[in-house]
Amino acid sequence: MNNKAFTKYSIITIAGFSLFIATQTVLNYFADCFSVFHDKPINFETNFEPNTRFIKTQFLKNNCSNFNAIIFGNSRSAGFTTEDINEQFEAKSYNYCVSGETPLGILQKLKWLQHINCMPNTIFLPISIDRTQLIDYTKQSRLLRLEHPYISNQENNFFYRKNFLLSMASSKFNLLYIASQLTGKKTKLSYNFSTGDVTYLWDKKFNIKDCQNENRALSEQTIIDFAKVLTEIKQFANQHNSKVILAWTPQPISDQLAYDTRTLDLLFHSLSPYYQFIYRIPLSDARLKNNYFFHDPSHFKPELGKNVFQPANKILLLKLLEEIKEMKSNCT
Amino acid sequence: MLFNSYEFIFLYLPITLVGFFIIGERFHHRIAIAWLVGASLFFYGWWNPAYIGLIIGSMLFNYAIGIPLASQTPSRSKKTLLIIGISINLGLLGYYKYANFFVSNLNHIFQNDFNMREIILPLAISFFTFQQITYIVDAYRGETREYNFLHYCLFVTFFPQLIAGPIVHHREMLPQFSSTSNYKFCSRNFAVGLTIFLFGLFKKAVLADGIAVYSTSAFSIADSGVALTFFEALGGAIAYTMQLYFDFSGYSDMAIGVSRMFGIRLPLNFNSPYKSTNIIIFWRRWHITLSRFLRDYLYIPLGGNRKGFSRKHINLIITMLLGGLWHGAGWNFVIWGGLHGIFLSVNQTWRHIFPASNSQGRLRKMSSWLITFLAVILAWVPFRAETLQGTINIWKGMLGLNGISLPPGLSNRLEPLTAWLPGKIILYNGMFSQINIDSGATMIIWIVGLTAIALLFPNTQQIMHRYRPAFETYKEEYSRLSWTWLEWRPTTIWTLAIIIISIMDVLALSNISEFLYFQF
Repeated sequence: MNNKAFTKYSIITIAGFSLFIATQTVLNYFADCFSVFHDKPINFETNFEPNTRFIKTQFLKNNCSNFNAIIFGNSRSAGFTTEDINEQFEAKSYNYCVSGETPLGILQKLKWLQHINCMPNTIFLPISIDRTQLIDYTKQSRLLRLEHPYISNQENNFFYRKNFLLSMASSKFNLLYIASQLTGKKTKLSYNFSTGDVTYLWDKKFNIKDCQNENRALSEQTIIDFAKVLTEIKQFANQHNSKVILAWTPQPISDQLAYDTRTLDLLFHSLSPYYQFIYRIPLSDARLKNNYFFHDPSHFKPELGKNVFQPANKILLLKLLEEIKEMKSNCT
Repeated sequence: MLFNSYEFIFLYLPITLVGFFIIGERFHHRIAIAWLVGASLFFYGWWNPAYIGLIIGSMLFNYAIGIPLASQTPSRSKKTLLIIGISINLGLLGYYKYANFFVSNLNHIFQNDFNMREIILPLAISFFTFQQITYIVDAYRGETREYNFLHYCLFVTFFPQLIAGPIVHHREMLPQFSSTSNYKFCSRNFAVGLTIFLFGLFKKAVLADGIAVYSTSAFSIADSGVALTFFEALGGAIAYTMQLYFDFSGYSDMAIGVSRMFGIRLPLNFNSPYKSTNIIIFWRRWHITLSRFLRDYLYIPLGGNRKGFSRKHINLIITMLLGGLWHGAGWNFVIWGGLHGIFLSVNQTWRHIFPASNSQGRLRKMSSWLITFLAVILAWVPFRAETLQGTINIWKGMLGLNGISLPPGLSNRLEPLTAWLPGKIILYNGMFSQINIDSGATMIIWIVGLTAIALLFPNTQQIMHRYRPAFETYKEEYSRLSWTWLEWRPTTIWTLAIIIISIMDVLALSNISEFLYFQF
């Protein structure tokens, strides 16, 4: 075999491979279903979930001085609207909720906000027991959960957004996105650019059980790690004269009663030295058994969310523990 | 820097390669070597620049000590110098790799709480230390020539083998650096190297990372204290067995491929180890360059098989225990090494008692393979598990001591047959109900598919046989395929196949993961 054959082989292999990569890169860059390469400076509706970490962080970078309160949390925090919060607390709030948010992600975002001199006066911090760890890590959720380079200190990393350009998952979702644009598929959510509010335009059918005394348990280490980061958030806020308002995320009652008392005790007692009060929807509230107030078993609607922060719903943290335990004891 | 990263594939490798051949063809070869040493140090320092000083210091020390060791006639002072050299090398390795382990064990024994500051393990320290020990030992034995300092630096730092091997020998490498033909671009070497690299990347990024979710899930559940049932434990253990093989042999292929692009051949490191029909053969096929090092520089100096039957077995077990400890400072590695020492000892005894057992029939060969394969899987459990409890949980599960869980749909059909079994041996909760995975069927497909590839397919060296991809440690180490059409040649069909493989490689790269052997 002469050298020409090897040269031809190498050139065709590299060219074929490069052509594919170039096509994929162009497709992913221009389709951009995750909204990470193009700013969308207007409100929009979409049938695909954008990476709100990118959109919101970029927006706050330029506009944070307009706000004095930030609502954190995962996709469930879409149920807390800035309009309701502003009215109840006389605040100017921004909803910085992002898909699959973790306490660590919130701490990182706070540190970045402080770094750019935008530490909010008030921090709304919704928590729930089932989000102490992230279980679902599909390829799409990895792309949705990649932090903006400002947050992850990757501003100078040339390759940071590579997954959005080169991964199979990104190509797949961009092709689906293009197909849905062409076929006019129904929109899934609307996004308010200037407040960060997300409105879910879907409802799933499901039933809520009266109670679900399953006694699910979380490992001690998981709870300790979770509580540790929440404590750090509180300490960081205190250092910078910010106030943290803790909220118990509304969930169908059966899910709230699913954890065993050892897990609940450990969580609440780990947090109680740092957080005295918490806002919650009383567990006896009939709406927690009514699926009208939920988009699906995981996401509550703003109709319920607006009641969480009413003054009457503020109680001692350990009182909530008692409330859950009491409900559990009545649950057979 | 990782071979399976965009930075390496799209920037570092092309720049280093082009720079090397431009300099090699236009300027003195020493400048090309210096370029490659500099690029290799950059590659090493990408992870933590602080340790570049350590590798340079280690290189200077060993080269300096090698000169008097090689030049002097045998004497007592020369032996003292060798002992000092080996001690300093091992001392450095001991400090960085074993100090925390040693202190924590002493604390445990004496109920102390003495704290050492956390020592970060420098990448590849085990690999470059061992390579240099071979150099000074061979210098003492008079088996080295007087090598050029730049060549020596490249021998230690040459980036394709620097991080995770193969553990190269100076006799294999240094003569290649002196060959003038290696400084001119050779399209044959490039094409062969590119193909081997892409095969390796496929093994790592597509196969090993693909099955990793299943092994990780099973082992993390076992480590957290959950009693895994039979299929969960066996599935998790086989998944890890395959993950480790495709991960590490994929890395070795990538190293061999990248090196070949520069015209340098590396030694073979894997030769279809899971096809072995006994443990002795397994160790001639798994991490071959480490086995070779342990044999030549530990087992034989300990006396090997020259000092009687029982000493031979003691030497074997000591060698494997230390081999286990080489992988990491943890009792799990000691258990793994100890198990393999025992397996080898049993295998040697068997051969001693039944010397004619080499002429086996098909059934006997199959059963030998099965026993070997199961022993290897069993031993990988402590190697992977993070806790002793995790190891015991998986072992108990594999033995069926935590019950056998079947799909719920089978309960009606099998209940009458299994009703007579005592206790809760047969459960109907699903085969993998406790493992956090999307689908049990997908896990089975991955396990069966990768096991079939490891057992039935030719390995990279066999496919690339025509172009002598790697040095052999044993004569005729990899056999030629009977279907020669499967051997790679730069044909249109192979070009198309390699383009598809390269595309799959890059698509799978989006979730970059480290190589398992980086921790050693």
